[in-house]
Amino acid sequence: MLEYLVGRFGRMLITLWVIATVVFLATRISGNPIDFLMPEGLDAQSRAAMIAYFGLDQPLMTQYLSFWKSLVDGEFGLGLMERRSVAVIFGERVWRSLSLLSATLAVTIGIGVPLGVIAAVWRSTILGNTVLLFAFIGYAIPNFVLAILFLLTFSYTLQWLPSSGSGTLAHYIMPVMALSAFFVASLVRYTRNAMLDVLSQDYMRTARAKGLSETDVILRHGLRNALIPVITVIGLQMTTLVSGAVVVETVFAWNGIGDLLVGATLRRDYPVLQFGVLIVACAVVTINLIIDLIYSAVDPRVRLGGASA
Amino acid sequence: MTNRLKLILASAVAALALNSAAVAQDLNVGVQNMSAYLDPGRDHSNVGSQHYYNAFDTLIEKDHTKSEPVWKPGLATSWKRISPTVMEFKIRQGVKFHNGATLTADDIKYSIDRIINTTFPPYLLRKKDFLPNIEKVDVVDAETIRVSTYREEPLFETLFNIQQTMIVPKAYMASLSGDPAKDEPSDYEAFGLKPVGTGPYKVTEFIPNQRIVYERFDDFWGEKAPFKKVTVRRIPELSGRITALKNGEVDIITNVPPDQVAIVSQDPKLRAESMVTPLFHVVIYNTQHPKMASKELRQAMNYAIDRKTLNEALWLGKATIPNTHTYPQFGGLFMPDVKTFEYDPAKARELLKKANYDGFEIRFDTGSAYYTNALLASQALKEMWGAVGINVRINVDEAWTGNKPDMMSRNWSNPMYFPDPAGSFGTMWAPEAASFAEGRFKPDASYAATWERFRFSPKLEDRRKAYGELMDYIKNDPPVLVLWQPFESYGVKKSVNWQPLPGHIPYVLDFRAGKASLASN
Repeated sequence: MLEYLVGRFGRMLITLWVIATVVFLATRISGNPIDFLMPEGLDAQSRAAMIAYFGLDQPLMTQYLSFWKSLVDGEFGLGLMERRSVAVIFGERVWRSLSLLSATLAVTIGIGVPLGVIAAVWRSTILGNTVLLFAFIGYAIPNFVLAILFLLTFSYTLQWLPSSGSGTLAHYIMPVMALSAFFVASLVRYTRNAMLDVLSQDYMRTARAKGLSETDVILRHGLRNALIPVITVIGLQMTTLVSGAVVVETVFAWNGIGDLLVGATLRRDYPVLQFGVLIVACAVVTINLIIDLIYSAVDPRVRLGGASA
Repeated sequence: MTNRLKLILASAVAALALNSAAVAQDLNVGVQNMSAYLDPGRDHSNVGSQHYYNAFDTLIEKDHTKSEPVWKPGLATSWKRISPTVMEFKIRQGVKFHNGATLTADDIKYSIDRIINTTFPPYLLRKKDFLPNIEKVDVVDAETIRVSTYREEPLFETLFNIQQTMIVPKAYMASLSGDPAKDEPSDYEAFGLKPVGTGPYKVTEFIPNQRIVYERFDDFWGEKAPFKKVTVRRIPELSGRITALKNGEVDIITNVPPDQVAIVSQDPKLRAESMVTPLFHVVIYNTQHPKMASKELRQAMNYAIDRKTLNEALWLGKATIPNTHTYPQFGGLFMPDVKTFEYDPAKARELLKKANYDGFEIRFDTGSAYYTNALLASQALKEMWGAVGINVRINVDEAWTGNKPDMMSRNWSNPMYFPDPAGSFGTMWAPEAASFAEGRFKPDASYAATWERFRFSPKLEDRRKAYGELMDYIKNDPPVLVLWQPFESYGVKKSVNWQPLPGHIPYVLDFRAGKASLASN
């Protein structure tokens, strides 16, 4: 297990190094921030002065090294746009995004899995079909459309919920609903399909024959076996969730890192963009690791490290 | 009911009333964009201009309710010209900065010096745009300073009323980073995050690109601010802003496009406040592009555009279509009768023949959403050009293409940075200004000489005459077509008295005494 973890960690670092380097190069190929930060009326002399001011006159290798140095010193460089430490810029926003994503994940799993089980067990009934109908609707509507529909209904017309910002619990309701609808819907469908596969297995009949209650049969023998593909899907969707958050954060003026990254991309704010991509990459790599660990907990046949096959 | 119970009830009611009065002294504003830093000397953006006037003062004030310049004492109580190149200012005494320091003549000298004697690149740009003629500032005594210019300056008052010459505290700025006694570039960066001025509101919280919180500054030298607290926060989406306004989360929202005005004004609790903004949307041509070199071609492009029809279609007839590059805010230099831009499709066709235009494609670059109505306007322009036989292709590009050599034509804006043609036309089209710097406008020596006469003649009549000649030059060899002054709207709660004022540069949110208040219930 330890050997496995060390190996995985090493691979994680290499992945992150490759990503950081690609982002470093790609941003520099895509345009000079001067054109985006100060677009108008720069003569050659002022332009050169501003390029030096932003430190963009340094050779690429020097910039690359100082990028890594900034990661080590913990400041992560100075944002080109805001001219303050990237660590501070992200520090202000990262918890807001994490709380939104965690709430969305909790809602997704908490609602998606039970509904999926219901849709499978009560398939071909009104209940099962209703769940499936809503799952299709949730799957089909893009999150930004849903977000605007919610705004229209709950803020504009009924005036029940705050439309923008992130101060109170009430602020979470609409963004979480808008963001989780798609993921709940797809989780319902995956769980339902996985459950249907499992429900027709021989061991289910055996479990019933042993005299177990129907609840035990479905939850302990059925759901547990069905969960493996579902967990994979949740892991994959976590990464989609991050990109969904970018849109939803904009609509609800959430001021999270999604919104920050969009702005940094448009303006080619290298330090902010590099660090942002790096932490998103870190999150994805870590999630993948966690998913692998959960596999072995759910399915004892999966042995990490492969030593004791 | 016992007396005691009555007393308790009465005090509860009083407490409630007090409480709501306290809340009612707050103002919440939703804006489309928020600044990344707040330093009036460094900034000239449309986003930044929203915020400075609440927290900073200039030496010379202005009556912002009037379009034309009417000067009033600001941090200077009086001023007089003691020679053609020297202006003497008497400094108001007892003025406090938000950090408690008292305003001194040194602070004023420093505020100007940090821009005119700078090596800090962002200040260099502003020096070039606004203060190239200021030579030095001398402190005569604690109450008097003298500003000298290289050449006779007809715009003295104007230059000490602009955002870039707002006064900042010297000692505070130096103390912000590095050596606390030394003036360093890192101090300027730090100031942009923790700005301090002398205005009626102090900035108590500023989160770049997110929000500003102002609080009333009780030691302000003038009339006290009407609101205890003003929170301005960014709500980038239009639907988000309108919803927040309707939902009571904010009292004022910015950037409401013409087609959404009805949605705001239909609500019995809301109204729209609109103003024709002192800013031009323009079409520009790259006169240095080999295919765009023919002045007849560019003249034809200008004559082909029916701006009145576009106004009806895009702005419900509410934008202003100027005859030339001029604003009412210019006072004596407002010249609405000069006809630089006219619609005459027959003449356009004739000029195209003269230019031997063979139908080659002209690329027109535009952003998709930067200027209100930009894309719709571009499509209409393309059709109008097409109608006289000019083949234009619209190019929507993510990156700014205005400074690329292969640009042929594109849209742009010419804001009024200060109320004089030098502060609008000049910033963009003076012989060595933005358009020249970008390499798409190279006027000849006669233009430069006329410009000098316009810029520095002491007599208004001479300046008027020279500006007319500059406009003739533009008409004859056009690098630009002025389209319109856009009609910009704000959504405002009926319980709030506020409207944009014509005496400000575009987009200023002025919440000073007499400019904003709560309607009496």
